Amino acid sequence: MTRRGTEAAPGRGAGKPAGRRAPVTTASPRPGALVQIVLKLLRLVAVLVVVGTLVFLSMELLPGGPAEAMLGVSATPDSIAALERQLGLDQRLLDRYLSWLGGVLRGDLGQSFRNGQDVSTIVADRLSVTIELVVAGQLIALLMALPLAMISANRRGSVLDRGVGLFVFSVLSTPHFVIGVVLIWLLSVNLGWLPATGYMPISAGVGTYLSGMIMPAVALAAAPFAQYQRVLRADLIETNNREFMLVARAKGVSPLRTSFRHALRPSLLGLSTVVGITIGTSIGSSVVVETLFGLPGLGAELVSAVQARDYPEVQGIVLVVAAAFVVVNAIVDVLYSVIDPRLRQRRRTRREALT
Amino acid sequence: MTTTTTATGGRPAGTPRVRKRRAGGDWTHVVALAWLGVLIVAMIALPPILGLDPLALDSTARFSGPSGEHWLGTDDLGRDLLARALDGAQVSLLVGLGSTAIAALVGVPLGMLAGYRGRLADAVVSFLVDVLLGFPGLVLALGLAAFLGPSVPNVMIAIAVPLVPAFARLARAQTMSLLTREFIEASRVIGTPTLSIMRRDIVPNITEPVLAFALVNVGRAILIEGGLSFLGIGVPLPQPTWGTMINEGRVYLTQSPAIILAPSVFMMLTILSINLLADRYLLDRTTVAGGS
Repeated sequence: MTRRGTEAAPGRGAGKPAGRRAPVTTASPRPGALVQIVLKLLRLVAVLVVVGTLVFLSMELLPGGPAEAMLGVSATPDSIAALERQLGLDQRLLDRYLSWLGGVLRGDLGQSFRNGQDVSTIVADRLSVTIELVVAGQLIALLMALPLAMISANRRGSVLDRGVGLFVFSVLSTPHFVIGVVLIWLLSVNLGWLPATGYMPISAGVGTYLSGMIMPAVALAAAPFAQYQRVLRADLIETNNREFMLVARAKGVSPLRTSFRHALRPSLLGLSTVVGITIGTSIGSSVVVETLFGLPGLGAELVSAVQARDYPEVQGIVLVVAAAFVVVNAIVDVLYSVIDPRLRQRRRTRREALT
Repeated sequence: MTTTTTATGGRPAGTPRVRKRRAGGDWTHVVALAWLGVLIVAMIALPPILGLDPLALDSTARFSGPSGEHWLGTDDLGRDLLARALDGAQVSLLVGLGSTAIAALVGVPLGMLAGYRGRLADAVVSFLVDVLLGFPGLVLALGLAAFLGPSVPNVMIAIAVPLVPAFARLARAQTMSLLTREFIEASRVIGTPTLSIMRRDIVPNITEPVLAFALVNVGRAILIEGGLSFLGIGVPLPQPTWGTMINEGRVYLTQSPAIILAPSVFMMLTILSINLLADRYLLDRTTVAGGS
């Protein structure tokens, strides 16, 4: 795509005098960047549409179709036909797809099999808990990873660094639910400091809210923390080897100041990439963590919907989660260039070299 | 060993520390291999030797601690924890290896095609990868497992699908970097058919990174399998798996934490070993994946 765009620019000006060509090529990066953003947005929309279509079609893949799956063992041909009529399943696939798509665009995700509630209402009620959990988990992960990465990078190869490394690796290799169970066993069963389950909204008081939220957030933070520490440590070590760090040290800037003021910012790019990916995986992991701690979030609802074979609800939740995931990744993608001006710079020079 | 000595010989004073650090690395690596070896041998040899049955109920020995008869103790129904953990190991390793193999067999050819052909093939494969990456791994596996129904092959498929895009991306990137090399160019110039270039030139050259990456994914697959089983949506009962054991033991946390301890330690050590080995072979090429 981009290659064709850059070839077109000089081609258009080929017949014109050389003096005219220069402004065309120097002006090309700006519209190029805009076109790229529009293309990215179109791709985002296309991905969302295909994701939605796949989620819709998944119902069709059920053995015997959705009605039979819904009725289970008690299904008779008559009851299946009646339910199909009731759900509009006797209509053509394309018609059903279009009306489903129209509903989704209007925010109508269908009705739950279990209680006839609107799936969109269920999602709206539970989304905030999951968002709170994921955000809290990310904050804890970053707050823990930052100092440990800096210590490890500055004491590279020391006993401390290797100890931290092994700890981080162990955390990385432990599933969330094991960490959660260990936390419950330690803090609730043995010490009795925190309630094992039970979520209280923040309106019930900050203290009660935090006591219900802290263990799930830590359990969710574990794997992201380990990944952040590894990535940031590696990037910090690379930055520490750069000349400007040598200059800073030679100048007599204190180690603490060099690590915060000089080394940190240029080392954040790798971390920001991983944060984007990890927020997504955290949304997935919240399923396990919410179930374990009895949090009334989207993930726990998904599990109970799956167990009850409540397909419209499964569809609706998977769709919302996937959409959130795609959008978060797109935002992070855009944020890279905001965080690191070098990326913008580099892209422009490469473009100029091509044209 | 010889390379280490020659390397230190050529370096100035203070080098012993470098050698020591390497030895430390080797040490964890050996322990990792040893654990996996012990696990596999125990998994195959111990049940017939000790007559272990993961489903046998012993109502006289409920919640019992470690003893000569039950090495790791028993659970709420008096079932032997060692027998169950070893039986769970079989399932976890089978699902881990199986789903990784499926993901690699689907993802790598797709990625090679995209990298080699470029243009339309690349656009289509990249789009498919984007779509699959549109779902968080565990949620996709959960949804698939729900729709496919509970059985070991279905769980493998449900776990393999979220792993496909990473393999496709890796193979695509590796293939594209190979295309710039002279031997491939030469092969194309003399008119070698595409399929034999793929088979003879590309496949052997991307095998190593793909295998190293596959190792990480075995760990990731075991984590996802554990998560699914923990949620009660994985391998169907009564087959014990580490995830189901932890889920069942959750209720008896106050009475007998050992029920959870045994499968947790097995699971952690196994994934840790796999990650350590993968880290050694991957060096800094990719970050090891964690979580569930």
